[in-house]
Amino acid sequence: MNSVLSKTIFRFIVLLLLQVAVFKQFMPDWGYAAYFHAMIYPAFMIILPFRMNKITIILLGFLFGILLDFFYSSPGVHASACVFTAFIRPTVLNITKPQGEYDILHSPTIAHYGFVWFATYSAIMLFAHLLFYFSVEAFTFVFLGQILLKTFASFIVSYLLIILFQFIFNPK
Amino acid sequence: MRNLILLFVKYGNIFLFIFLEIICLSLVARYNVSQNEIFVNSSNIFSGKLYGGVNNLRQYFNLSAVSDSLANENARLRKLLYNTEVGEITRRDSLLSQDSTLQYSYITAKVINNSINLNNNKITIDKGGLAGIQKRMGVIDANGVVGIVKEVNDNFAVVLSILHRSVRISAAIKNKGYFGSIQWNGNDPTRLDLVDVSRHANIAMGDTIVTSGYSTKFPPNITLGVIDTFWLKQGNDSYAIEVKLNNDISKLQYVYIIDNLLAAEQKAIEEATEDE
Repeated sequence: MNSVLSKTIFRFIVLLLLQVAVFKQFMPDWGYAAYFHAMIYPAFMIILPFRMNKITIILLGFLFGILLDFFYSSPGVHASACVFTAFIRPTVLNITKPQGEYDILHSPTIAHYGFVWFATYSAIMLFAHLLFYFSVEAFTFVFLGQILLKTFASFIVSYLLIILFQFIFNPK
Repeated sequence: MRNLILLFVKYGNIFLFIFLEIICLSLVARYNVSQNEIFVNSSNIFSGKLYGGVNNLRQYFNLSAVSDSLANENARLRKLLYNTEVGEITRRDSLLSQDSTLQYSYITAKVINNSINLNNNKITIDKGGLAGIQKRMGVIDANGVVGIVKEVNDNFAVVLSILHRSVRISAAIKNKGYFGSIQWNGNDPTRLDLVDVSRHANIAMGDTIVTSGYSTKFPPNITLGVIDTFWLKQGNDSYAIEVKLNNDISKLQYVYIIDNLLAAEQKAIEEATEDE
């Protein structure tokens, strides 16, 4: 349990710092580039260990999101998206269940379940997260076209980042 | 009771989810300034009208603050009026007032869209080319400088706020004459940086910063703010100065666009010497 806890805290800090210190700075504000938001932080919710229970995951998501909101000065936007992602995580894991069961001692990572599985699972999680995030950000579905456009554009960038993050840090 | 507890054990995550989402969404609704600006070009007619309508509604709630600021402004103008003669005497020998009695005229406009929390903030106002507004005119309010007009169509104009990182305004320290230029560093919407003030300048905390009048956009001696902190930059011959803004950009309602009637003339003669 101790190693699970320390690992989670470590990822929590690393991903938070990466997002606010590095990728937030790239937020472009000209023309079409404004649609591409680089978001690596959903990786935190994606690779939380299996043995963590649902309630803990939702609370962690909330804490993580609120901290992000402090840095983005956008109270509630990231938090609501993170809570949502944390909430749907068990369902997504169920849908993408590979041959045999998940090993409860592991985390859902490339190291344990392979690239193809992780690519599918993280794609669903990330897309749900971004769609929810941009909907909350706009706070109305009047701008549905813009929301979808931002979601798709940011998905491309963020997906690459999250996969890359897996290969570079190779979390177990 | 037992059933209730069982219910919570089984569906606790759903309750928690709904509970936290309600908290988050109420936070969003309460604290987020509309950040749609990036994808809604607010100077186009449709959204301009929309913002105008919303603003009309919102104005009712700000009436007391507005009347306060108007009263203050009246007081200031009255003071100016009573002191006109002194002003005329000191200005009589200046080049500008020789063949023209009026150099600056003001166009009033209402702010219908504004932001302060982006890196580059813009303001939309409800008057445009039909009211005589042109690109690159300066914009002020009762308490200080607001920005510079960037885009104009018939009925609306977009102003680059003083909280836009590409806006630089020529400024001077009141009564001391040292000048520099003022710009925003993107962090605190109540503070600006005054740069290029040379190190031999004798400045103090609390000194008032005013527009220098060197550019054609702003007349001289419009208050910008006061010096909050300053220090000498390492290996540099100028001061780093932080200025506390006199006006509150987050509460803008009415602004004045400055029409400098002699701008073209000044520009022309300055450009004539540029090749020398």
